[in-house]
This record gives sequence, C-alpha cells and structure tokens, in this order.
Amino acid sequence: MQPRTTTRYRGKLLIILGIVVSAALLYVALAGLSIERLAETLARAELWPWLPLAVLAYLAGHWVRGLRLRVLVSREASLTTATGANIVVMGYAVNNILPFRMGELARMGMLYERTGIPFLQSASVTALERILDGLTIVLLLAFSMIFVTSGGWLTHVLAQAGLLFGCALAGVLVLVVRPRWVVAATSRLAGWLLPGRQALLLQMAANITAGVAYLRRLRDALKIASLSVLVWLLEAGMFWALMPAFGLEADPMIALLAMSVTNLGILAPSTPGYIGVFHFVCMQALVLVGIAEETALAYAILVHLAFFIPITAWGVGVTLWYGVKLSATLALAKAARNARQSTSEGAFELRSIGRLAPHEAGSLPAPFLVSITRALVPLPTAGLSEPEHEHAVAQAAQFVQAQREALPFKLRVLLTVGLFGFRLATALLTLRPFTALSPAAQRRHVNLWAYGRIGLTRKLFRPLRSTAILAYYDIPAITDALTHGTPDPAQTGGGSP
Amino acid sequence: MKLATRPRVLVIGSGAGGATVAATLAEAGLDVLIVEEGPQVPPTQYGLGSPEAMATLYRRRGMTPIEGPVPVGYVEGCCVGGSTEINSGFWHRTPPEILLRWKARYDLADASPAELAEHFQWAETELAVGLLNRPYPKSTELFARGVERMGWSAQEVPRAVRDCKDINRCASGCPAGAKQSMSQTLIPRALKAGARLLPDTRALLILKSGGQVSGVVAEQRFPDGHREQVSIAADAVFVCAGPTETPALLKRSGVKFHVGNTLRIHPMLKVAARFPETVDAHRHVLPVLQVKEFWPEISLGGAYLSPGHLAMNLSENWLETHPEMHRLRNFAAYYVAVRGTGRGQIRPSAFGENDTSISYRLSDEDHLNISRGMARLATLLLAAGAEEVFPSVHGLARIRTELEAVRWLDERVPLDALALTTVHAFSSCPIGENQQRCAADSFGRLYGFHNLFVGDASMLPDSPGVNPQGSVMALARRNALHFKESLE
Repeated sequence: MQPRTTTRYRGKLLIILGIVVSAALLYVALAGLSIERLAETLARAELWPWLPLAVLAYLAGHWVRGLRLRVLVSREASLTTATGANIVVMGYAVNNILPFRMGELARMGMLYERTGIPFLQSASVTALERILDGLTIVLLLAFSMIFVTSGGWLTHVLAQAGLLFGCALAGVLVLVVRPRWVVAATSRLAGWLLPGRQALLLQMAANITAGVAYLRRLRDALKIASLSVLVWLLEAGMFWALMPAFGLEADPMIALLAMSVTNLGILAPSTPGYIGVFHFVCMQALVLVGIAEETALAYAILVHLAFFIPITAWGVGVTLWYGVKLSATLALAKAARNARQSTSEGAFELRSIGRLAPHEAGSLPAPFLVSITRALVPLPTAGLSEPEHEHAVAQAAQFVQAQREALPFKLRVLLTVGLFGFRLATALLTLRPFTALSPAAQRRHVNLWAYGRIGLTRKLFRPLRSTAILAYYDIPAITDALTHGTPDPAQTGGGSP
Repeated sequence: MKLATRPRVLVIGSGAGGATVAATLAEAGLDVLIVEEGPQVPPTQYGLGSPEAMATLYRRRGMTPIEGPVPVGYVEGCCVGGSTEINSGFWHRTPPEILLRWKARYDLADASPAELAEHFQWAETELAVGLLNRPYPKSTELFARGVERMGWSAQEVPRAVRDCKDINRCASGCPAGAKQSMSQTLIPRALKAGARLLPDTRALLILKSGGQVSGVVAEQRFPDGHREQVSIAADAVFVCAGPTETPALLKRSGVKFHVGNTLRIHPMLKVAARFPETVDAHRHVLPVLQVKEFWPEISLGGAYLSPGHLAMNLSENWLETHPEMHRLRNFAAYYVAVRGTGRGQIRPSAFGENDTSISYRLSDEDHLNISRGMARLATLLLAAGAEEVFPSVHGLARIRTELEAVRWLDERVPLDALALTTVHAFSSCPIGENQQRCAADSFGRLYGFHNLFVGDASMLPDSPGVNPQGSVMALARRNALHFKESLE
C-alpha cells in the first residue's frame, strides 16, 4: 500500500471506530429505558432560569480560557482576552463539527496567525493548555470523590487519567524547569541521527520550550493553575445549574463529579460533538450517586445541548468572520499574482489588478448639523454682521460634516448613535424636533450635553464642538473681528519687529 | 542575504524615515520607488488655515483619535513629506541616556552616540538645523522670563528651518519654504538621484511567501477620482508608513511578531496663558524654548497657536471661558509633555475599509507626571507675568495664583477631565536583537523575513523623550546604509 492510502485508510478506520463507539454507547445508555418516560422527563424539565444560567456559566468559562491563553502568551505577544476566547472557542467548535480533534489544529493555527508566534510554539501552548485542563479535571474528580462516592469504576478512571496526565505533567515540568537539557538532548540526538536537520530540530525544540516559558516563575504558574481551576469550576457550574431543572438537589460535588467524569470520558474516540459518549458517561456518573436512569439521561441530553449549541454557534461565527477576512487577503494576493496588464515606473512594473469605483464625494451638512454648529459657536460678536456670522456658521458646519465623515467607521457609528439619542431626548423633552426649536432653545440643549455634568454626553459632543469651534475661529473674518482688523504680518510679508 | 546586484527597493511612505531611506539608497545607485498614500501638495496650497490644511495634509483630516480610558487627540501627516510637513521642525539628537537604555532593554546594536553621530550630522546638514535666526517672538520671551524667575534649566531647541519667516504656518505647511520638510529636501534629492515617486498610492498588502517578500498590492487614486489596484514587484520593501500605518499594514499582511503591541506616545496637555501685554502669538512662530529641568519624565515647551486652536484649548470650559477669545492678542499657548510609559496597540480595524484602530492606556506614572507638569508650567507662566492660565482640563477653567497651581504637585487631575493630545507616536515595531521584545533586528529587518524592513518612527524601541524626527532620520540612514553594505 502507498503511504497516502495507508493514512487515508487509518483515517477512515478511526471515523468508523468513532461512529461505532458513539452508537454503541448510545445504545447502552438507552437500553432498558422507557423512551416515553425519557421524553416525559425532558418535557417536564424547567428550563427557566436554569438553562440560561448554565449557558452563562459555560460561556464565562470560555472567557476565562481566553484570559488564561492571553496570560500564557503575554511575554511573547499581546493578545486581548476576547481574541484569546475566540481562538479557544473556534477550536472547540471545530472539534464539535469535525473528527480527529481537528479543533486543536485549528486553535494552534489561529493562535499562530493572530500573534505571529512560531507555529510550533503555538502548538506547545495549546498542548500545555490541554494538559493543564486534564490535570485540573483529575484533581477536581479526586476532590469530589471525597464527598460523593468512591470505589468501583470511578477509581479506575481516576487512576488511569491520573497516570496519563501525570506523565504529561512530568514532561511539561522538564520543559519548564530544564529547557536547556531539552535543547541539549535534542542537539545531541539530532547530531547523531539527523545531522542534516540539526539546526531545524534545535529551532523546534527552542519553540516548544518557549511555549511553556510562562510557567517558569512559581507565582506565574500558580496564576495559571488558578485560572485553570476557575475554568473548570465554571464548567461545573453549567452542570450544577441544570440540576434543579429536573428537580434534582443542586449538589455542587455531584456537579463537579459529573463534569469531571464527562470530560474525561469524551477523550475516547467518538463522533464529532461526542454524541453518545457524552451522554453515556454523564448518565453513569449520576446513576452512581443514586439518580434514576431516565432522569440521568434526560439531564445528560440537556447538558450536552447546552455544551454543544452556544459554543458551536460562537465558534462558527468566529470561523466565518475570520475566514472572510483571510479570504479577502488571499484573494487579493492571488489576483496580484494573476495580474497581466502593466505599466512601468522606471525599473518597477505596475500590474493592474482591477479598477475600483471612486470614493463617494462628501455630502452637505444636514440642517440638524448646521443647527448644532450654530449652537456650539458663540453668538455674533461686535464687528461681525449677521450675514457674516451665518456664512461663518455654514462654513464651520461644512467642516464639521467633513470631519465627521473622516472619522474611523466605529467612531462614526458611535457618534451617529449618540446624536440620535440626543435628538430623541430633546424631542421627548420638548415634544418638537430639534431643528424646530428656537436658536436659544437649541443652544440650551446643546450646552447641557456638551458642557454638562454627564461625562458621556460631553465625550459625545467633544469632536463636534472642537471641530466647530476650530473652524469658526480660523475663518479670517472672525479672526479680524477678534483682532479688530490689525494687519497680520504673514499677509504683509513681514515677520516680527 | 542574496538579492539582485541592482535590487529594486520599494519604500512605503515619504516622511522622515521613508525620505531618508529613499534618498540614501537612490544615491547609492539602487532603483527606488516611493509610494506615498497622500497627495503631493503644491506649495501654493501650503500655509492656508487649519481647516484647509487638515483636509489636504493630515491623515483622515486630523481625525485619528487614540482610544482608551483617556482618549488622546492625535494627528499625523498624510502627504508627500509626511508629518514633517506639519510639524514644528524641532530637532533633537537621541539623548545618550536613551540610547543606553535601548541597548540595555532591547539590545539595539551599533547605536551608541558615537556610532550615530555621523548620521545625525548628515541630517542636520541636509536640513539646515539651527537656532532661530531672529529675535525671539513675545511668546518665547515670556517663557524665557518665567524660566529665569524659576531658576530652571532650559534650552532653545534647534529647528530644521532655513531662514524662518516667523509667520506661524508650521502646522499647515510652510508657504515660504523655510521649514526643511522632506518635500523640500530629501524627496527632491532622492528624485534627482533617480528615485521615482508615486503619490496618491496606498499600499494595501505586502506580498510574501515564507520569509521572502515579493512586492505589494497598492491602490492608486487618479485625478478624475477613479481608483486602481496594482501589484508592484520589488526585491526589498522598506515600510515607512508611520507609527500607526506601518504596523497596521504589516498586520494586515500577516506579519505580526511583536508588531503593533508596544505603541508609545508623548501625552501632552495644552495650556493657554493670558498676559497683560500684547503677545500676538497667533502671528508668530511658536515658542522655541523647552524646559529640561524635569526631563526625561516631563518636558515643558511652547505650542502652536491659532485663533481656532486657542478656542479648542478653552473649549473644555467654554461656557465660562469663551469671552476670553476677545483677548486673543494677549494669549500664548504652551504644553506639558510626559515621556509616556504607558503602552498602546495598533490593530487593523475589524470594520471600515482599511481603518486602523489605535489605543493607548495612560500609565499611573504618566498621570502623575501630567498633573505635576501642569502645576509646574502654570507656576512658570504665572512667574512670567501671566494673569491667568487656562489648562485643557474640564472643571478647571483657570489657575490664577501659584497656590492654585502647586496643589497639583500632590493631587492628580481627574483622568476623565483631561483633554490630552499628542503629535509624537513611535515604537509600534521596535528594533533590536532582543527577540522577546522586538519586531525587527537592530537594522530594521523584520524577524522571519529576508527582505522586509521598517524605517520610520515605529522602529524606535521606546520613547526617546524628545521630538523624534532626529532619531528617526539617523536610524533610517544607518539602516539604509547597512542594507546597501549587505548587498556587497
């Protein structure tokens, strides 16, 4: 067999195995149960307020995951918590939809893309997060078993999981505490086995050790450990919040137990979204503490829905948004490669990719903006006629309009929303549109917002008043009126005496 | 690095850094193309009022606010010559203390005062850097009087100006051609040496494959309004689009390693002062003295004044202060600038066509220094004879006495009352050998790339504490020469 065929064969085998395991466990879960009673139990579940609370707890846990990721890479890159959460959630969503835990790869890729950290380092960070997750779950399982139950298959699960993640932790500790050993060992082994690739392997080793570098200080390691515990406590919160939905006593230790066992259980191969495995393991955890099978399975179904739907929706949204941006960039790069028609600038060739429509020309200020501008600039002063003042107001309003259009999109939207709020508020107070008020009334309302006690309204009006005032006073007729017409040396060509 | 024997070098941006790189490499015999996003503004359109200048010379007509817990007003140039067309022309060499710091924290190689001296000297000769060649305007005299009475150290800051006409048009392009901006000096020099210039051409994307850059995609605007996207092949690309647009372009192009995460600024607080005598500050060049007594944390100096700018200064307490506009002729404007130990970020905005999101978080130290700086500046101006001092602080319309001023040495001005501005931004793509902090090596080559470089204020490792043009030009020249040597 050719290697590629072998890989595809193995892949198909794993998918089939996953489906078989999921189907088998679903069958076992349902075996001996009354489907009618199960459906009845589900129908009777009190979703409000428990389901929203559960989803909230679960989403909060992902926010904390984002925070943990941000902290883990903080020495190498600057990541916001929001972006960190998006990266994590995208990974989980892909795991829910595609097989082979492709979400982990997606997560590494997005971390690499968002931060510029080398890919292997990103992989190291992702692997570290998963090991920390596993360890935390094992510890929380052990803790819950003190209070709830012990013995039987749970002890077996705990022992095996403890061994697995314990070994992984040992590996991480070596990378953290003795990175030079790792690099030196890599250098020796590479020099012996693959001398031609020694530099590359050394680079890889350096990137992998860099991925766990944040844990080198005890204080920082404890911070990460605390965040990991918080993540899984919030996830347990989801399990806990759904218990009253089925009339179960909301025992936090049972919730902790169910959460730990379920998350360890889904390490087994299954379909995307852990169908079957999730339900079976969660159900068994509850049956172990004396909950009826139908209730336990109904509970597991609801927990799985709360687990699956919000994160998949969030992750798909992130993937689509990110995909659209990435596609636009790739499309532009591709079009550049395929461009044919060219002109030259000396030694440089300019190849035309495409013609674009002109930018829209700026618009004239609406009466509302003219009124705002008039209210922001001072009343006509001595030395300035009314027509001159009105002309100055019109000029200033045009400037304000142009400046408003030049604002970055986000701020433009915020300003528009804020001005809508202003118009609405004044209309409600006066029962008339702003433009129908007298100039004196307009000025009163504008002053209240632009110079009043509420910081938010002052912030809203700051760009408007700054631009209106700047434009107004820089109009030569206004300056002349202020300086009583004394000549400007710049106009007469002279400097200071 | 292996490039063609006569590589084509694309320089994105024509400001202090871009013009320096372009002129240096063109005179070294390389093929250079400068793409500049902004227009080439004829001198006849220089020296107009602020609204006209903002429309033609400033990025987004000057509407490039820095977001954050305390928003900061920020402007940068977007025209041939970049921000050098609208700045005051003040010139500083990078202080030795700062260079040492850059060496210690960022491992910036080959950048000692002695090693940079020849590059500073070159730039100072090119730009005719020198002191004001005429009697001080009144606003400077008053400031000097205050300095003397306080017993503080101060200096006249040299400017890149040849035969200043004292007409106070620095911020709208010098119509007299006295300010030695890039459009007057290095751009013509680069063109004379064979470089090409494409104004109204914005770089949208850097084309790359692995660690190799092959060119850019750019958008050209034509006089009839239509736009065209073009790809431009190059053997090396120097990104000199400014401290905000360089990281934005790099990030959009997938270059992210330590890019856009370490923006630094010099936060400034403007203060207007009214004197009993006529000052006519709006008709004369801005004050040319800077107080160094509290440097590097705090710097005090003179600010540009026009009637509109004075009104903006007073607008934080407008209902109370607007009658002061009738005494325009008695006013002068000054500023407090702090070194800026906070940190900001540059991100391509998620929305809007090619918008850039700029954010900055003022540090506690910045906040303290701004309050103290305001106290000291107000004290100086009152000692100089000012009747009243008007800081750009909401709720603090005026300071009349020294007692009122010195209160702020210990108390902090409320953050949400501050109206801060800045015209100095840098460090968004720091250079140095320390890969835990830097986006590029000591000579501007971005890590992970063979032929992609930064060459503007974004490359300064952190705040220089002084006007940055000198630092930018010296490092840009050094880096361009290093690039040329690497070809040989």
